[in-house]
Amino acid sequence: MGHRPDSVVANRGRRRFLIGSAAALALPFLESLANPKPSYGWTAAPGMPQRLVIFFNGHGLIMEEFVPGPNMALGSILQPVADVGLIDKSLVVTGVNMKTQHGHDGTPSLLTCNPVVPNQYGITHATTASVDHVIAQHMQDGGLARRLDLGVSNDSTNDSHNGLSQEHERIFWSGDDELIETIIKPQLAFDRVFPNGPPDGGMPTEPEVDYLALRRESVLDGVLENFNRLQGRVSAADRERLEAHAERIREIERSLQNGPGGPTSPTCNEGLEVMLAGLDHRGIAETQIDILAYGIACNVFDVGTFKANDLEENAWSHVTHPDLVQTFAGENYHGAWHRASDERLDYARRAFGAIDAWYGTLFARLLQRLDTIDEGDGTALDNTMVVWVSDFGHGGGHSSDNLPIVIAGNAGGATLGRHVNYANDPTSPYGDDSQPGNHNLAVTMTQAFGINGDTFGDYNNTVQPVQSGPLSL
Amino acid sequence: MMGNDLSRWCRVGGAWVALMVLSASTGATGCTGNIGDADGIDPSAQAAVGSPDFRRLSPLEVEQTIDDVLAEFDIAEPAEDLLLAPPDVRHTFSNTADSGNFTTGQIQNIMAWAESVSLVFSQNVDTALGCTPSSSWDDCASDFASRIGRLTFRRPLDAEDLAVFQTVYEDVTLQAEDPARDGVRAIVELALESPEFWYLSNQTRPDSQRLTSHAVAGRLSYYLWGTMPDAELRDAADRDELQTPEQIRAQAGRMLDDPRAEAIITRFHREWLHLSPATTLAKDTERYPSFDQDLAADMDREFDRFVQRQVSEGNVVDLLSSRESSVNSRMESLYGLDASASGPEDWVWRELGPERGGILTRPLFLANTAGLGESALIHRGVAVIENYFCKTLAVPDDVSDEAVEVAPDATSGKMAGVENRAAKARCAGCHSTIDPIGVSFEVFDAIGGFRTSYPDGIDIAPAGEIAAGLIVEEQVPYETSADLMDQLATRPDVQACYASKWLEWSTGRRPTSSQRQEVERLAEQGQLSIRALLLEVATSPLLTHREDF
Repeated sequence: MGHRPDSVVANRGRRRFLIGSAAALALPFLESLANPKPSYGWTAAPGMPQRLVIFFNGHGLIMEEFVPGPNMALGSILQPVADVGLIDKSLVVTGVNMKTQHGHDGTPSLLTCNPVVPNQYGITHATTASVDHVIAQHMQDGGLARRLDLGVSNDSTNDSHNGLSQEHERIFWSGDDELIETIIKPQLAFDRVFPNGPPDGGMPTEPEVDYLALRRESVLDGVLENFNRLQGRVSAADRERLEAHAERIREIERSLQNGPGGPTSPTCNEGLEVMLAGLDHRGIAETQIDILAYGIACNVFDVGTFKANDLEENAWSHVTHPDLVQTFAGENYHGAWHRASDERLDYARRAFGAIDAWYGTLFARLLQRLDTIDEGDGTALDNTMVVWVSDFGHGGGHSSDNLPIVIAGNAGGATLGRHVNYANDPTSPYGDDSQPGNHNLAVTMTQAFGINGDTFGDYNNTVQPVQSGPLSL
Repeated sequence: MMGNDLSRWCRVGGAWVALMVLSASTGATGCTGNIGDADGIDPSAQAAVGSPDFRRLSPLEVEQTIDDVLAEFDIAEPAEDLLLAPPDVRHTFSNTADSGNFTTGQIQNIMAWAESVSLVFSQNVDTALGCTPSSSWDDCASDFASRIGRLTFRRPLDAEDLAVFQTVYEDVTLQAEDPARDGVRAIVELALESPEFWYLSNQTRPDSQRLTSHAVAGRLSYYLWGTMPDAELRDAADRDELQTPEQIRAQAGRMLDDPRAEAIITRFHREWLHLSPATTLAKDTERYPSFDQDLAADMDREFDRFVQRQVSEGNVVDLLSSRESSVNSRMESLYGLDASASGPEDWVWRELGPERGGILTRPLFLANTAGLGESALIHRGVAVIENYFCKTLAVPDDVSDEAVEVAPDATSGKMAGVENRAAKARCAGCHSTIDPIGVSFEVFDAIGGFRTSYPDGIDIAPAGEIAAGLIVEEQVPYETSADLMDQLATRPDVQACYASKWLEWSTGRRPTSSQRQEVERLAEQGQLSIRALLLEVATSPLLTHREDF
């Protein structure tokens, strides 16, 4: 039994669908949405979004550069959206506060709207699914949620990292202490969207009898039987843990019985050309955005997320701002943000202004990619609700008030191309208790997807009062 | 609204805090009081403390285990990667019991991985099974299930277990493309997706808090090797000879002598201090022209050789304050030693300069707690508080309009930030303790080289004191970081913290204040030798017993 050194653990073996390294991969045009994958009975109401994408960056933004001025005068963060001609398909929302819990500990509850629970190390986790996952489950009506969670992080360029991340701001949850992992490497993202390898011009043929599905069902039956037997031999707390695990296996087994689960290869990949290796953090983020847009627009997934994890000093080489080195000197992303908190530390504000403007270009790229795919009378963007949100407002102040929000593409019927503001000063780190909250944003989303009810989460255990209903847009 | 509650600025969390509070309220002298007073510990009280948690294997442990399972079946082909995110180890170890619940996506990835392993088995049926399976449940299939089940469930299969394997096998062979092959694959997949594989057993003996020998074997093996029990440990468990402390100690001693323990000793110390391999760190190449992948790999190797030596030959004081190190020619140059190694392949043990002392003055730690060009003094200070005193500092929230640093311009400008934080009540609560510790380490640059002044020519003044209050009851003055390390190495509370980290590693749980006596008892062993500490952890009731059922 040889022992495997830690440093090569994630490196060895092979992936199922290895594509040549550093090769630009141009995919042939197949049939544009000729054969969209059927959902489990859910259909978008006319004019309402057919899918959801959430764009997230941690630690907020330099709000002065985000909040539009009179007549939609844009700062550096949203100017890239205007540059690709899509500010008219975007609704900028300011003056929404985090109501569940403030500070870093509250971050896991941003989209769950329920109280968080600390573990033995004081690290908090969510106790329920976040709104994106609730919507994803709703759209599959009992089947497995079809979601694609991509992002960029420091480890995206680390060859010895396996490409799945749980780090930093923990936002997307499928249940109690169930953190949804982020794919941080384009190769892995590509494999997930194209599990059968790059399309070769023909549709994959389905076998007459799916022996693999049959075997999986039998094996899972046996696995669940072993869970049942073990349940009787463990303590109550352990039983709870086993039950959470078993329940997810049951969900997978049900999806096997209900028909084809998981992604199939998209058939609307016109124009997708991606580099999968040899990229810096900027290139990785852009590629992830492209893969996400195609995975979503091609109806392989119902819900997609893009997460810009905290990047450290050496990952910002593509943002060539003269103040960046000083801002990060000896600090990580979090500590560097603190340097942007003081009025006198203008250099850090300038540096983060440049970083945030880069987030703006990524968001603009996402919208632009979706908008190039024809769908019905319009584009894929018109049928997608794209939400940009962060866990903080004023990043330097670590403020949980006045979060930056953009709802683009399809805002559930709300008129786009506007700025809706609920705060006296939406750039301030200090909001007012009477402003709407993350619960209202969540209900805006659930209602757009036809989920009945005007509440989401817990309205009693909050740090500020919050009313039911959606945002008034 | 954003609060101004000062308590938010320096919340200190974790088990040892509870312990401190407890001690203060009972008039004892904190963590330092009773340690070393062996007579004061009641053996019967020890037997009642704690229970091993029902923890899940970490992705690293699973991957190592499957390598070893394949080797047991003489299959040379490696398994595919297990696609699970590495655990977040900012506050704990990769094998923590607090690893969250699985999502459906993670379970699907586990299924895909198990199917890739079963494919390898099906391609090596003759080698692996030594017989030809058929479409019916015969001896060939049954023997294979018993063998792979024994390894993955870490105990012999009973009739009920085998019945489940049989049902699945018969189910699959009934409707399969290639019945025998798919039947074998189903056996492997069932073995690797079942809870008996993923969760370390805490099965106890009838009417006892003591774990069965098979459960003890699993715990010992993942504690010291990070993988499944080997044949000798399995045999000992089958003979029920993992019950007395002597039996367990004998096996643990054998396991510590095995090369497999080396990887775990390295992993423990790197995760304890939250260190990334130096080969993954970026540094300013203009400022540090010597820092390349070769030197980075040397830093990693030096650190590993240092901890291996201290664990096999030293005690906790050596680990925390020793000036010896194993160096090659590149490391001699980094340390500013005159050359004695003949080259990069020649590793020699040397006495380092008086500025060094212990594990925290090694370049791997120092390079991890630094940015591209300059050291990160706050991070170094926090590392001492969290890793040597077992205290967790809350990340400060709500620092709007506070001057955090005046001129972090990569040089002596940092010192203005230190003064600034000390002058502000909201910062000083934590930073009056964090910063002086960090300042003592300023004599080490961003790759761990020694210096006496900043690049702008300003001298570094490492002398200072740890103020009484946050982590120590009486102030601790020091001249240099090496002096500070010497003092910390002999402190009972620091030694107890180190012992508690090994307990955390071995059980997946951080010891609680009610387990204080046990931690102190183990820490005494650490004063003798780290090896004695590790053997004592192996026989600790926290590992071998269960509290509740």
